[in-house]
Amino acid sequence: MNKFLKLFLFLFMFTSTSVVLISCEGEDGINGIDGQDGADGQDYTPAEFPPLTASITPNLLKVSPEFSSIVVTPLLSSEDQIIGTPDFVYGSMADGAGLLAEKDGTFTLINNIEADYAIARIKLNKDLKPIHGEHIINAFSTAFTAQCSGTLITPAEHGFGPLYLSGGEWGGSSKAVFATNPYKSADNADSAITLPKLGQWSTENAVPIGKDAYPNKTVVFIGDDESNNSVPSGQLGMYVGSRGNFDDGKLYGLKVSSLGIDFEMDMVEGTEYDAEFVQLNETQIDLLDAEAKSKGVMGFSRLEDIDWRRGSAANQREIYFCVTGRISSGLIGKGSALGRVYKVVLNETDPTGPAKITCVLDGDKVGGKADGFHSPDNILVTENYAYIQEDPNGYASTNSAISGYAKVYQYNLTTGALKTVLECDQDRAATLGYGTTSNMWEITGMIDVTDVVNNGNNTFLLITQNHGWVPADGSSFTDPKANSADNATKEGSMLYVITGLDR
Amino acid sequence: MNNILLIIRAKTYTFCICLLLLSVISCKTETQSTEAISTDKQIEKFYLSELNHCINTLDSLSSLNNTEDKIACYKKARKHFKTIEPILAFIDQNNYKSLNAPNILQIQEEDATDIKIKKAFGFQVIEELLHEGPNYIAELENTISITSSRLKLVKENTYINFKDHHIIWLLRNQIVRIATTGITGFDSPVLAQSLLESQYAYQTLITILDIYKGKFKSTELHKDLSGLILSSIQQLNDDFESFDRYNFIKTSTDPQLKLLLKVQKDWNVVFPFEMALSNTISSLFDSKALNTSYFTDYKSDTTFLKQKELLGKALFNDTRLSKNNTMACATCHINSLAFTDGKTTFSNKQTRNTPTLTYSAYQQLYFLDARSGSLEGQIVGVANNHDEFNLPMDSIVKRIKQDKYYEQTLNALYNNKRDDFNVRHAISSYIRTLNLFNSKFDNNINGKENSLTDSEIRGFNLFMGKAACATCHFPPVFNGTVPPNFNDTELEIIGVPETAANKQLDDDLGRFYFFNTEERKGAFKTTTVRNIEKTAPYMHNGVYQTLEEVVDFYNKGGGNGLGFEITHQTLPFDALNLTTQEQTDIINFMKTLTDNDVSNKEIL
Repeated sequence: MNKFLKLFLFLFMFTSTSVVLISCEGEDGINGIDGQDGADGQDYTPAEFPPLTASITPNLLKVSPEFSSIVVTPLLSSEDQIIGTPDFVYGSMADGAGLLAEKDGTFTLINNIEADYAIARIKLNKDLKPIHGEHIINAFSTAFTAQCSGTLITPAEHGFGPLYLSGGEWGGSSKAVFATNPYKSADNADSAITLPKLGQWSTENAVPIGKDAYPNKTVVFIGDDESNNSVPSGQLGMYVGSRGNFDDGKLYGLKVSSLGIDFEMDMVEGTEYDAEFVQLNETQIDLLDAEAKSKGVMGFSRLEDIDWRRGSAANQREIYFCVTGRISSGLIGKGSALGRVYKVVLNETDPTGPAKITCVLDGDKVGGKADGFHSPDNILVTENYAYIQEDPNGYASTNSAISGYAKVYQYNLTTGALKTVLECDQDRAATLGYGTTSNMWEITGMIDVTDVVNNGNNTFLLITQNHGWVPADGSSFTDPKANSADNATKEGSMLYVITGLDR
Repeated sequence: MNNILLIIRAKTYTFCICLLLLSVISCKTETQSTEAISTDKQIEKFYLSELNHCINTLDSLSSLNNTEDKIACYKKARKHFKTIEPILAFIDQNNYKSLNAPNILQIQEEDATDIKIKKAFGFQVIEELLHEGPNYIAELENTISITSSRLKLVKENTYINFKDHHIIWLLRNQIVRIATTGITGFDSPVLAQSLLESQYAYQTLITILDIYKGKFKSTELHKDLSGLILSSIQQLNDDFESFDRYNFIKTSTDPQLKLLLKVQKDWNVVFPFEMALSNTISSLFDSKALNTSYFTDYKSDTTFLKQKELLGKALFNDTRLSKNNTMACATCHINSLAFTDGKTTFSNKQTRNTPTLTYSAYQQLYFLDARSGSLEGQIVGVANNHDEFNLPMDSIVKRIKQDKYYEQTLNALYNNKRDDFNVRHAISSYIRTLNLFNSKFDNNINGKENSLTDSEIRGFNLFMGKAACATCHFPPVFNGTVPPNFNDTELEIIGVPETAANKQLDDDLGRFYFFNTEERKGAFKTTTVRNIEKTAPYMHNGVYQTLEEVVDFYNKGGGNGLGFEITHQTLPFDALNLTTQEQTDIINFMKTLTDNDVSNKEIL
């Protein structure tokens, strides 16, 4: 009996994820539970929370002159203390994030804390000021797996949810897609759920595209940050299931089918190539990789973040992803060195049907518009622009066109124009005691929250991982509730809000 | 303030409970549709039950006070872990690897700006900490809780969906794992209970075969394989030092691999693709046991491979590849010396000893500091090196294409314009043929001859057991590429001296120069022991002229044993306490690893 119960519980864990999603969608109130919840809510007045009115950390980003109209404000950093939760530490290497609007006018930010192997939930008041912070997934629940980029699934954008997906990439060896209920209790922060049908990859991110792309379907793209030194092996995975279901679908990989295109470097900037999606039956990391290779799935030199274009259904079938690049003698002529951005246009009616792929920005092309790229890593795509964020791999010496520190670029999806929006101002930061000039920071987690905030202003969140910035007292920027083991990375992070940027 | 927090908590709780209720209802329909218990479910049930026992036992360890009780408890948990090993290592090899990692720093050097150094956790670490005394209690408890959290994550996210070829792969991997790392003491550093633990893993194979009994058309075959595994279990019921590993591989491992081929036929298994271990492996030391293609760029088409190898051989011997037309690959890699040069270093401009090219195909990392990921990439390093070819690849390609024969052959064999890569691919393809697996040892263990002396067999058994050589030099290639997945080639810090007088540590910091990672000071790749009789002098700096000196170095505990201060030595510090006879036996064994006729036989 006991064993049966365990088996049942196990099955329950296994199947509940997808079921939960469906259950939360539009079912509120039917059984009256929601009403009860609302009654509780009456006691709850966010105004009673003293917000963190301003981060004590100065703005360490330098905005390009042509973007002088935007406003960049630090919202929260590792050295800040939120009065409501004084022990909460905004930890090391904050990464992917998602923002939810609450009925009471407040906001809930779900944020990966990569180097603490955790996921934080931060309450923001109506002015986006932090009022409460906690961890809903801690290091023990991910078994010390870094949660890299993240994607918040919402009913508004995806037709189901909310659910937060994050990629388990390094450290924990649990190379899978983690799924987290954004409202889960912080008291059982030690149980995490992964989605086995999405396969084991060096998962950077798992990104479901918009609900209008294909009716009744959930199409999730998976970025494989595999860093093979012999042949580029970062594949673009795709899961296709019914709406809101992560159990009934199938897995695919992108193959470039145009003749003579064997490696990503055979694709030149600006030329469109034929692509297709081949079905993959394996899920275990090595077998999946071998199967993908045997079926001719394209390998990229570390496929990082992915995003989809906002707007019409056709827009939602337009996928962009960053390849961060890698320099190793075995990869010459095969994989990108300094990074690329690709566009994939999916089939109009069937996500697994014939598609098109174009390298829109090639950091290795001397004199090209992306000459000077230093490892594009994260990407946000709005209706008209892609915002490309760098995580420098230490290759500055290989290209004289590379200058300064990590940058955010704005790529115009219509005209193809590329502009630098801002850059980490590490020279100034170092003089103020925030890190050194030798440890380059990463810019990450940029999301467009304009529709969530809905106050008439174009609003974005952006995060920097301030490598080399550690507490003066030698301790570490780690919340023990996120990671109580003595293996934490000490470096701090910063969360910014940006307003006035075009979408 | 606390009030407000409580209310928020309450809200969250209520929400969670709603979700729970809703999902339980939805779940019922899910379970109702379950058919008769499938093989997957049976395996899952067995696996989860063992995993649960493992977690519970491990969790109970911390509450014990007495060290002896703790060790007894650990052994129980370890038994459950080893019982699930064949399944866990197959469905989640990364988690298996970290749960079974040795107690050394885990260093991941992604690139110069992304280097992660973490303490190991898992069973081997716990095993060592249990023997470290009261000062390590906190570390022990921390390690146990991390290990337990990992096991719980694995448990809660188990997904078993086996097709027939998966079962064959799983069985084969485990048979090879036992023969290559299980019986060598690789993962039981203190308690040395590897032989017992291998029995647990074998027992699981019997359980799996029973679950799949209905699949066998030939009940005889099922009986034969199970029976053979049972007798292997009995064979393993032996003492670690006196266990005859040579006999075990000959009478257990290899016959099991052969029976597995029959099972494949009986089940009509179709393999969708090949992994490192050949889908038709019939013995561990067979020349076709490993697929060289697994270690290559899968995209280089294998059509006309024979001709490409011939082209590669011509290029390999051609001095026009170097700037001054004075140096070919063959200048330093001389066929009759198993493709080494017999020198400490080739000239006073090189700092490292020329490694053998034989069996170099079976690696994931190239150069002694592991800076390249493929043979094709390694060639770029030689081309660019000012003290070697000193001619960039594009110039080499230009020179090659001036030769009519080369140009025509390249065009005829490769249907693309990637000349640079094609040249390197041809040379690499030739190098990948230099693995004959026809040494005296291979021929004996494969039953082709019966000429090994008692000393040579004792030497193999020492190499694989008491002397711990095989815990880094893994059979069948005896290099640092870890079986049975062969997806990782290891580096070690052993503390090689500057001169054979063993007075001072060598100043070559090896891997350290690549990213300046402190913990990687003095790390070098583990190279093959095959053909070692012909590849003197030895070590990365060619410091030792004889195998006697090499074995003596290890016998003393490496650099640390010689009294050097090496913070991160990965070789156990303790002396091996090998007798003179034992050292002679090991050397005699290593000399049986010389390929037949490497120098005379026309390979192609």
